[in-house]
Amino acid sequence: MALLEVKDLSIEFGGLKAVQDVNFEVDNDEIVGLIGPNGAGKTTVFNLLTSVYQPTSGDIQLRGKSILGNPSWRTSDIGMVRTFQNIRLFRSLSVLDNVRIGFHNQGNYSLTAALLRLPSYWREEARYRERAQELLEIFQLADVAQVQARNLPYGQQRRLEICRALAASPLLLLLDEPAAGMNPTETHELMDMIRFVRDRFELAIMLIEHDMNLVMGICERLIVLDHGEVIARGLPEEIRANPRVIEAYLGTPFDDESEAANDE
Amino acid sequence: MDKIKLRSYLLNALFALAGYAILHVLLESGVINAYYRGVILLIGINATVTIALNLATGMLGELCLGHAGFMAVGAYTSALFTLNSGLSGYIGLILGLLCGGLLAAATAALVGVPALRLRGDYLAIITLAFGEIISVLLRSFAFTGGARGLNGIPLLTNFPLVYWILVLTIVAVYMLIRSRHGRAILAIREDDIAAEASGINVTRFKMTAFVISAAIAGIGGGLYAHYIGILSPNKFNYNYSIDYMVMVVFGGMGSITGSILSAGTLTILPELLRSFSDYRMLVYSVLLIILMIFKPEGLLGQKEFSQRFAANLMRRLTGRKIRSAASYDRHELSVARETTRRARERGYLTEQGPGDLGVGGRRRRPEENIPVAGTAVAESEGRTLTRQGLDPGPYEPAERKGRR
Repeated sequence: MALLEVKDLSIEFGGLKAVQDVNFEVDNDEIVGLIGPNGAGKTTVFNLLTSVYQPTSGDIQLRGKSILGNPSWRTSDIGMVRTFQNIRLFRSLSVLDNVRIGFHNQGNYSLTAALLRLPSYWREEARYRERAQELLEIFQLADVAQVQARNLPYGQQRRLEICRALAASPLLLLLDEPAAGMNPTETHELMDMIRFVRDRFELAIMLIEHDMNLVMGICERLIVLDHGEVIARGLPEEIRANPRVIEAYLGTPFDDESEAANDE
Repeated sequence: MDKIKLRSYLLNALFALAGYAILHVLLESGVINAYYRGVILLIGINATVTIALNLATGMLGELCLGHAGFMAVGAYTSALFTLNSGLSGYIGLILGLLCGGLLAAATAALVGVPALRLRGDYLAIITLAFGEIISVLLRSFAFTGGARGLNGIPLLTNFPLVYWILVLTIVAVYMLIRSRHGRAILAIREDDIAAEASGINVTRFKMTAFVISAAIAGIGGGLYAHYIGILSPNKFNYNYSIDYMVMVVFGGMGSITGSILSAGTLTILPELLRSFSDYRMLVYSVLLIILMIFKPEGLLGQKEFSQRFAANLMRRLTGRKIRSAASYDRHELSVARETTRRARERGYLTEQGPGDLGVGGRRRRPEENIPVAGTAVAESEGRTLTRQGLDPGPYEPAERKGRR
């Protein structure tokens, strides 16, 4: 049984079919790329996975259980955490607090315990702090733990966002254009980091990306969307050579002969 | 419990007691006369309500323009309680305050359910309307005295009560904010979409903060009723709500100590300016404009006047090292160092440092897993996949609540 199974997923906004009969699976420990030209429906698929939208038809199953009908905030409880195309950090809070908020879905002391500072508060807070510190060490953010998130340079903000997502200990990490706005060196570091995250935390990663070097470099499998439909899937080498994918990205080559043939 | 934290809590408790003792002696011995006594009580009441409003507006980030309405609910409820319950003295007052707070909280829940489910400034509009509705309702009911309001409310509000309710409010809001619940509230202010993606039930935490805020405002209203002795529906109008909003912004959105400071300043200022008579409000507004030009984030911004802050300030002024701040930094550092050491021992961190994440990384096979607490096991296609939580210590397994 695959970790994530998406079956005949469709969503319509009014008359617009943003996603149509999309089927795919993500296995444990896989890095899967979701690519396609602008407006193909990639982010819509992510929004469906995280229950921001409810599909018109079809099903999404995580470890064999349907996640439809869940409120969006339950997504991280179930085991999926996402990052955002335009970084969304808690900007005026400290780096440490950003990560601690990531632990929210594992919290188990009550409001009463917080207000009265009962032992469970101290125990859990100590645990959060240690685990946050470890995560920050791993992502080289420990030195800036007390700095406001908005004051971090761009690359560190990206790392912090991934760090916060990992705090929720997901089974599947959804990265929405992680390399957006990065230069080639930073992108290269990011590739290393994505692989490292998968290995260290033993989770599956699904990513949307336009940077083909990154996609071809780290994805083990690719799913190509165009106009809301899956037009190809397979290994990066296969996708690279797939005529439909080339057509989706570059358009149909203008061909005099076929034009002439059509005229007749 | 954390020793450093315990010490700082004790120190704060000591400050609160000392502040009480000093003011109490000054009031009792007559050094502070009856007029200033009244001003001090008003400062305490205003500070309580300002902190409440700050929780909703500065910390949760929802603009709320109807706190006078919640104060009115609390004020009328507690006044009616002390007038009609037959319970005399402070027992009646305290029960009345509790009733006022509870009713204000219930009203807030009613207002909040439709408004807080939505993103955007709907709460501002709805609370604005709520404030107006309350004052119209108070004017039209017979049991609230109609347009004449309530008279002859026993003047039971005294210094100890105001002081300790203020202290309790500060403690409650502080304890709330420095917890996972409070961090969730701050996260919603910062970015509600990211908060939701982090597993925070945005609507629930908005409701929590808003209802607590209204309850405290209701208690503040009850104190005010028993301080002034007469209630009129005209008092709790839109301007009164705005007065508190000004105090919140003036002190700094999200700062508890800023709220106290601004409640103090903005209560004393109109009193000091009495000699300007007609020009009083003009001077008041000019001062506000000047502050907003030169310090738009308010007196304290999001900062708190904490022991650490005070110690740092002392150090800068006197050039001497103050123990509190230094030892706190040392404590934080030692925690960090200890964690790193333990992480190394457990193999989370490699010696070459986390910087070299290592191209390709080392793929850990299942038998290489280090058995620690916090290992969740997922069955998949006949092979067992062991997921290593980050949990380093002897704590409970990091189970996912509600994971299905």
